[in-house]
Amino acid sequence: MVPNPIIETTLRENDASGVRTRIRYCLVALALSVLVAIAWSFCKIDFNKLAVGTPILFSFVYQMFPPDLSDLSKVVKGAGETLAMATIGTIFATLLAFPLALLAARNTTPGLGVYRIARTILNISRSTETLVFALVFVAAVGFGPFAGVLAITFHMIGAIGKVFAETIETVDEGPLEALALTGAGKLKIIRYGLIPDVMPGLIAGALYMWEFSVRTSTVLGIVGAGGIGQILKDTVDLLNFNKMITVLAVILLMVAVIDFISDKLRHMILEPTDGSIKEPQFIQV
Amino acid sequence: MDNVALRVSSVTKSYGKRTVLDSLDLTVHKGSFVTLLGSSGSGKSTLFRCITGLDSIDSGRIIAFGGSKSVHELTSTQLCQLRRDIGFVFQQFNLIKRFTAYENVLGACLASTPFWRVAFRNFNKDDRRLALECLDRVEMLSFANTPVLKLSGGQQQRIAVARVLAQKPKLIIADEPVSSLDPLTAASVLKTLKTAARDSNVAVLCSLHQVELAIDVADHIIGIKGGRVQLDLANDPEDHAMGNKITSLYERVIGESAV
Repeated sequence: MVPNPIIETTLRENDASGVRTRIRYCLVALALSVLVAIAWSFCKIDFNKLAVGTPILFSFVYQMFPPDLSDLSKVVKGAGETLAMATIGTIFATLLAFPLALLAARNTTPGLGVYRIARTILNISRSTETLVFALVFVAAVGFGPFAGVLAITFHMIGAIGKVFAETIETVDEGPLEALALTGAGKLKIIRYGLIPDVMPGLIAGALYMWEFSVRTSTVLGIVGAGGIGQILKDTVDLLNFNKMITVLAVILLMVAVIDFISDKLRHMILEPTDGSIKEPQFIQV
Repeated sequence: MDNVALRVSSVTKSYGKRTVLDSLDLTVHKGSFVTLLGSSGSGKSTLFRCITGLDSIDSGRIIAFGGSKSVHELTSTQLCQLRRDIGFVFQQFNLIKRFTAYENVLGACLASTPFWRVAFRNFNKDDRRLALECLDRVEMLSFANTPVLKLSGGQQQRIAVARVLAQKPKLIIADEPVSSLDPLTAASVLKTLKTAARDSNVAVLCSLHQVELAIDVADHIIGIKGGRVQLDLANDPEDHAMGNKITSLYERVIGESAV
């Protein structure tokens, strides 16, 4: 067979570019290794300390049993307070995030300036940890669950607003253009065509964020912002491990139940009406 | 001049160096069904975007319904007003999938409904009756409360036709309305559009790929290529000899064999 010159040239070019790609990978790997080494030195990694500490850790676990259930009603009440804080905080945040999200979504914002301002507000809120907000609000409004509610609200405005804005931006533009071509104004189109269309996505996003809030708010009590975290902190301070295991178990149970409920609700809401998307099935062998 | 719905005079439009519309002339008379034939990239969609003010033009004039200003000279309020009179049918239907057929048709009444009614989704009875009547005219009344995503392509396009009728336009622009449908459904949807437009005396400007479909419905056939009108013929859907003549002429001038 006569060799095809185009095939030969292409093969040679592929070989050359293959070598270039490998060299590039090596350089990237080298750079990453240097960065990891620097980070390692910052972290003061000392496995000796871990070896010494491990028996102590086991003794903590040993001391946790039997669990102390004497104050169970107080612990459950704390969990209830945490759940209430997370729920009210998420509701407040959702109500405030919705208008902000409309301003921070590219397809609904009235202008570039407004878009940038709204995005900045969302970013500041989202990148400030709930615990940091909690410290500030405990100082401002005093100890208790109200500070916790405010902390969750202020962090979640950003988190929920970003999820909402992204949901709004993924909406199918075609039908909205069709409505615009009937001569309808932007506000009417947003109200009639866009909001009902994205609503299931928004509700699912808010529920997901509610799960997050419940998890986050279990530790807010440590800085005095109410809920079960306060009880947890007391048990740690007093080295009362029998009680600590009770508190941890209640937290775990609450978070698991809330995750389960939220997951079920989200599936119900997002289930398409034609049933085209099915639940993932385990492979039957 | 009185019976002209749309007049496009020497319209030129370029994107960068590429001239899409090249001094294009076109007239749509009131109550007539005009089809625009041409292959992809011949400038049909661009022309439609210019007529509805979605795109500007470089030169020329587009006058709708005997107005004094060209579309590109209108203020945004005037443009909204004009758009109420021009209905648009899309290739991809552009219905809100989650909504029912009825809710989609009702969307055509947004422009004439005060905002507070839209906010509470409380449309007046005349509009709601009109929406159902329009669904009846495209033979989709029994699907009024069915979510659009459960309907077939042909059914969805019928809903889109009902929506455009509910807008009570003076002119309907249809951009490749049947190219995503199978041939039988395409012919039947096109017939529905034709009948509905004739019954309410609305002019239609409809772009198509296939000359056979055009011959079956059009009063007037315009072939464009390279942004210019190459063919401008009167047609009679009942006259088969005329149809054959147009087909062979179209193949020769536009150079795209009919499928």
